[in-house]
Amino acid sequence: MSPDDVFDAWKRRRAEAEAPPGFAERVQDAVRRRTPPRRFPVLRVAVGVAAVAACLFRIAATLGLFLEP
Amino acid sequence: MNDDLAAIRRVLAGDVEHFAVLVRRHQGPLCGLVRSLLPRSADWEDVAQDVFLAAYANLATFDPTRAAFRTWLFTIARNRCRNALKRRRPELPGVLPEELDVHTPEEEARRREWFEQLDAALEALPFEQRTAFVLAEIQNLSLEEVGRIEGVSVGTVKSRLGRARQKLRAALAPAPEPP
Repeated sequence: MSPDDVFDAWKRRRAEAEAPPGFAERVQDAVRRRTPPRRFPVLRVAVGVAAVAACLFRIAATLGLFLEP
Repeated sequence: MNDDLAAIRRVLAGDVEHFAVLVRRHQGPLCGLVRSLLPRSADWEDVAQDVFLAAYANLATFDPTRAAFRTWLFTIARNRCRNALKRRRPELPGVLPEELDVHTPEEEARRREWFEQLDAALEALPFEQRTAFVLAEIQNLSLEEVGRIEGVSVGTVKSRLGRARQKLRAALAPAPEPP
């Protein structure tokens, strides 16, 4: 066996490494124990928008005290 | 690629069981990658499982216009392996499957010795060179994909790959004869 053959055989052996038996089932069990992923962070965006709106409202209300004729 | 996207859409729509399709499709290459990046690791399976769980938790952030699902998954794997190596303890040697070729006992012993030398040389490579070599030469990813995973240019990947190959081939070079 030439060094090139050995090198290729070694790479092949590493490439052919497989997942251990039952690996996918164990992953899926762990996945089931977790909350499903959110499709879009709708709630987080809504809370952010509401917070910004409340902040702007408070600023406008405060400024309004000084700007009233 | 399109099959991956269809599966991802189903999972995001609430069909959690469909995530198993993605796991079964990518578990072989992913386990091979993690096993090669975590030399002689006793807990590589935990890391591989952790990669899939991280992918599941962040599935909504996967952008198919930026990379293939496999590239995205391998990026997570690369980062998780790097973190695992930082807190690495002495571990038991990992076991790789045997090839079924027929050799004479002498050839088999010699080959085994060479493989061990290559395993040790791979383990001794700096993490960046090892990742580039494993992704390009063992997982057969394109240089562009490797660059995307590593966050470097194709030129840098080529250079890391060249150095890795050189060091690995040196592991097979015969020892100089004693004077």
